[in-house]
Amino acid sequence: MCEFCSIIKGKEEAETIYEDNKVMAVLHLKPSHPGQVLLFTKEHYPIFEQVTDPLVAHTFKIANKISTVLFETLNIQGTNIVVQNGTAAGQVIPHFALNIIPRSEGDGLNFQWEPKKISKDEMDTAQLQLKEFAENIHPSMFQKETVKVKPKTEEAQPLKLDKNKENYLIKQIIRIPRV
Amino acid sequence: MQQMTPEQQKALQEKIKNMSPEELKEFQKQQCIFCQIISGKVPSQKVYEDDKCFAVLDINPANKGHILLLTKEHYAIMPQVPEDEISHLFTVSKYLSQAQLKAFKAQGTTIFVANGVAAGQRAQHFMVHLIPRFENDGVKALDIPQKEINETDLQKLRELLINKINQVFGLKKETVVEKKKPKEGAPAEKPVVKVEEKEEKEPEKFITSAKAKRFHVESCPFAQKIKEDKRIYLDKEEAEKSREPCDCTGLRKTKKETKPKKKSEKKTKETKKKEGASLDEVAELFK
Repeated sequence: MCEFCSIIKGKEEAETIYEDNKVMAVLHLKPSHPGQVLLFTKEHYPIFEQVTDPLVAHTFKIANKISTVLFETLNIQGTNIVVQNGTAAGQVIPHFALNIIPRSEGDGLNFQWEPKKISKDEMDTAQLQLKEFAENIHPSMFQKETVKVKPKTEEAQPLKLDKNKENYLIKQIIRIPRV
Repeated sequence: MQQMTPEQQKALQEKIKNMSPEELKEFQKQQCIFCQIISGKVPSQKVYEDDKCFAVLDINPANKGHILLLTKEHYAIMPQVPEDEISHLFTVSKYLSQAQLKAFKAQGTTIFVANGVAAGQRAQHFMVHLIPRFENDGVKALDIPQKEINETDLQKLRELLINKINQVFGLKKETVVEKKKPKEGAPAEKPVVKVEEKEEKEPEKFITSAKAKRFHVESCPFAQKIKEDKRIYLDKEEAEKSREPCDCTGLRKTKKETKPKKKSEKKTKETKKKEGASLDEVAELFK
């Protein structure tokens, strides 16, 4: 089981700071800046592209709120939100996650990349290639959160219930003939 | 931007000082290079556009195909962006990231947001960087370094953040559960941010009427039968003195109750024993 899934299932210790039925946020144990938060989905998706649209929306909304909280509680002047999507991007745990990194003046961090020199021709081809695939993006096709009523049943499903559910069923079976 | 003489700079600063917030926003927009890109005043290499956002190639790319995804509306930093636009923007970024993977056969993407100058933000316009990534592409700057932090600092941070988070998310008072260090090999106990709802509840009020022999909680169907003008509200002590509790209150511990209680205890013992059995074994019992 992946590290984040063990945290979600409670099998591994973590400094949880936020949890709802879809996502969980923990403090990074080896932060680049004190207060670095890892925010991940409860459902196991290895990469960003697999995460459903409504869950992407929810996760980033929460990320924004947590980023605001970092601003308000720590004495910082900025935040970075970084998704390492794929091993080539530095992803270690195969479970989609966001890094929310507090930033302060002179914190010794620098995410500023060295610009690559790319010829005009190459830029033009890159633009064409991207355009070709981006043409298929239609906001009207984005999956929306299905009816508001549904999440209630979703809320009931995660983790804790599993164990009790079985016991509950057994109790029901035992009770029936005695009544 | 054109070079300005010190006098001009001073005059400009003076002008900015006297602006209303609306004027200032308008001024920022006029100055903002990305707003000019979006309006088409400055040429760019657009790859995607819809009614809320605009994506162009970065002219100082970390890798080939580096995209800047911008909100059409001018926002300086992410906390200013309304939630629906955040939802939209990042859903689009998911699909653009997918486009990068396909178009360049990239092995990954980095999604990067900088809020504030300290975080490396250069332009006063909120944007998402989408960078195609390849094994050994030499973009070391985007690695996130790891540093040690001591346990006490971590706990302090956690407490601070949790309190604020609960406030921001409108959660109720919580108790930070003391965590036991997991024994080696044993599964760790789950640290839970418990939301204690009971603490926040107002002192319990019970409902009854002048004639009634029992008292109820507000949600009890019996309580709802009592007409509003005949309702008497009592606190726990008063209610217990004068009347019997209804089942709904969970306070029934009278003599009559003792016997059945023992029975139920037995029952639970039995059930406890049987909980260990599988469903099939339990089903066997009825044959």
